[in-house]
Amino acid sequence: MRVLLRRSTRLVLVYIVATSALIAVALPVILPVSHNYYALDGARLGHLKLAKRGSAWLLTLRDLQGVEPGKALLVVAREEPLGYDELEQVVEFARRGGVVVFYGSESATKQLFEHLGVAVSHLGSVVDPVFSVNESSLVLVSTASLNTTLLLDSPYSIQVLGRVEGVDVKPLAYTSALSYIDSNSDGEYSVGEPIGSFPVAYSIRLGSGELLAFCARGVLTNSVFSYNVNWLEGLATTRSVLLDQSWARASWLLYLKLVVSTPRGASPLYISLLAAALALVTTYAYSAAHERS
Amino acid sequence: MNKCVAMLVLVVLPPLAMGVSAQPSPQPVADCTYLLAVLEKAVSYAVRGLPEGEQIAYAMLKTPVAPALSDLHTRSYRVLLSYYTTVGQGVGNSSAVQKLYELHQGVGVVSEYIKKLHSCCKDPEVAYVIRARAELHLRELRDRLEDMVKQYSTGYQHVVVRIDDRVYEPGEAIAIRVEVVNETCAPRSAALTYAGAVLDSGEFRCTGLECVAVLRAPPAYAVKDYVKSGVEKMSLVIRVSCSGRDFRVYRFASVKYTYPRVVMECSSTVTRGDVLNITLYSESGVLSGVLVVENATSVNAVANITISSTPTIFMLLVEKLYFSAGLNTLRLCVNATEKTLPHCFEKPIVVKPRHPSVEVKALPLYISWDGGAQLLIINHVDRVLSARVYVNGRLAALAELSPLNTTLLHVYRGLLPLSLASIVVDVEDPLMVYDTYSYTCSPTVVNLALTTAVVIGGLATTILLQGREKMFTLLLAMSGAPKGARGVAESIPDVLRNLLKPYVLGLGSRVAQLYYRLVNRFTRLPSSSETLREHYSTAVLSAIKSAWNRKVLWQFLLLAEKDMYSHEKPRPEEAKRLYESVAKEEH
Repeated sequence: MRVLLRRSTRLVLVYIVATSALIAVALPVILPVSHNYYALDGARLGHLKLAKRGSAWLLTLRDLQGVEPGKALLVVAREEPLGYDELEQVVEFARRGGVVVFYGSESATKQLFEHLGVAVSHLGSVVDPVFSVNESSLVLVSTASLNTTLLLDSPYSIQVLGRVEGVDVKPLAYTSALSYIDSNSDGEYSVGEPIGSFPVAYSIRLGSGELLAFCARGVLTNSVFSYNVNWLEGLATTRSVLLDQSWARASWLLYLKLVVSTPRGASPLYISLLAAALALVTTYAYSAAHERS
Repeated sequence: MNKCVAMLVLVVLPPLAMGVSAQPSPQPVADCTYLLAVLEKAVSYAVRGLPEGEQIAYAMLKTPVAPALSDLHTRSYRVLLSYYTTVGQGVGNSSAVQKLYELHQGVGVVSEYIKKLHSCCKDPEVAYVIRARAELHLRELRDRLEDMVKQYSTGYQHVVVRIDDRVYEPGEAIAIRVEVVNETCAPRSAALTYAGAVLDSGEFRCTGLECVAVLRAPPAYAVKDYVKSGVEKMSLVIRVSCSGRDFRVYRFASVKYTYPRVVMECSSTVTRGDVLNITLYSESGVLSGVLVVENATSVNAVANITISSTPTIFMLLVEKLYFSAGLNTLRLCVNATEKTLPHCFEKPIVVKPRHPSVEVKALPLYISWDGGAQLLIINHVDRVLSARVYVNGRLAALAELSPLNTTLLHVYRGLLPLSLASIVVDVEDPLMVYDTYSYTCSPTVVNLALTTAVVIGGLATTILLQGREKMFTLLLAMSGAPKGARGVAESIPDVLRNLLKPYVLGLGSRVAQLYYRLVNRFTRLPSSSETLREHYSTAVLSAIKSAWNRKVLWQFLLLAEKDMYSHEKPRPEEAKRLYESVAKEEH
């Protein structure tokens, strides 16, 4: 009788522990997480649409060393400036023949330019009440070289103050002549604010590759992705798109979700592991119950 | 050439080219400062002949704006686009000249839109810079159009048109001289137009190859709704017929319109009832108009007056009908004449109030049997006045004050022994010559009858309660008794009953109540002036002879005391046992 009771208690404990563990492991996949430029975020500045389009994400920029530059297009979008090593890895990737699309916050863009030896100053947000979509922060810009129109989320203007020799910086995209720089950030036009066409993207030749730096909070983010997807496909052609998510390592939850997910949902490996664990527990429970009877 | 320039712009300026391919924002633009700045840019480009202006006009024409601006927005940018189209197509034919002339007339719409945008800017003072710049560019554009119209309309050299190049006075004759170069041509008629309306027209009279037509510069009253002070350009349209084919020659005549000069002098401060002497004369001939007084609440026309160069004194009684106390504005609005535009002249007048000579007498303290308060109002004016008396915010009396007479008003009756009345007296003049006189006082009113009744009642109560201080003491003790004392809190609702029988109820102690019930069988109850022990030694011992009963009652007494005063309460069963033992013994 005592033995039977002990086995029954042990069985219940195993059930509780196993169920808790399964729930704990499943939570990161179930719980929605919102973070700018996150591959699994469906909000305005997330990258879910890009991820679903078939891009792979990089959990560390060191992986770039193993990527063949001629066959990849790297998308780097950052809220915070990159570290020195990260910048070096991105620049090195471009020098080896890779194409890099860079955008994000003002500080991140400024730091990229300064790393390349180009001194810049931030002038303010660019607002275009005429050539915009739905709201004046989604601004239509024209790329001269590619002869196409892009939609940028919250573009801003920078002034190139000086550059070092050997760095070829060319303006890539301009806003319309009806846009203005909202210098005082009041969201409206104020007397004295310049109206005109402003460069909001630059093409920087690095070795045999190219770095396309956009002065905008979003270029391939969800809010503007459907508008710019054709441009991306034209740019990538045969290259595979790699989305930088190395910054997500700073948060265990963001990182764990990326590890157990694929752009289309939970990773098959993860699901297999969960199924195996479930099968083990069920088998154990069944055998224990059989022994008791 | 211009087409090539436009194409070049489309190719060289990609952002503008984008404007053609991309759909503008569907959200209506309502930022007036932005729209004004863009319009200023477009006009400045147009003046300089740069194609960017055309691109901006094209894009802006497609851009929805706030509904209040929509009509002017569309019309203005159509004018700009039309300018580019007309200039771009060349002006070598008469229809192009006609279009240029229509454009010249349409520039006024852009000017109107600039004003409208400026009025809705968030900070109009700061935005005035843009407006001034835009108007300057627009004036340049208008002059350029004028030159083009003049130049191209006589481009065929059929006739030579001459007009004196000077600024005309309103109503002045404008002589249009036409010299016929091509003998198959003859000038037919001339018309003077402004803002799309034909204001004057005339036929040419010819002497040989020289023809003359005389038109009148529009008098100020004819254009008063369109023009402001300054030089205005009037269009002169000359119809010339050459071999049965008509064409038009355009010229422009400058006419200067001014506001009249009127002197209005009067005292800036007057007192009600005084006569205000207003000296009026005109330095612009005879003018007619209306004199208006704007007071704090209304605007009233005082008189229709005619002003000439001879100073006239207009006398105006400063009465309440027109003037309120304080700041008033005297406004003289003169009508348009042939030479001058309509205009209003203003002069601020401060009116000091004049109160009627009235005395209101009130006492600081009223003592009466009925609590009444009276006011004495003495009217020193030889006219009837009315008085309104408000006591504590309510209308208490309404009286007519006879001329040079005294009126006594009963305004208040105090229903308390002592009260304070807040009295406001407004004395008004029905004829509205005087301003309202207000008097305020706050007398104390004593109602003697009520005061006496209260004193008597108080004395009676004092007498009745004399020697019953313990009742009050007990009442206070019960209401503030500690919560731990059993029974007291429960008995508070019956406080009056407790007050009358404090010891009988034993401060709510059940043991004491049982003790009293038992004692009451043998002797009287303890009085309110003796302790239980005193009562025991005086009353119980004398009434009970049995030693056993005496002993039990003593124990019972101690038990009752313990129950009433100690925190350690005895068990009720014990009291019950003692009670029953005495009861059995008695049987």
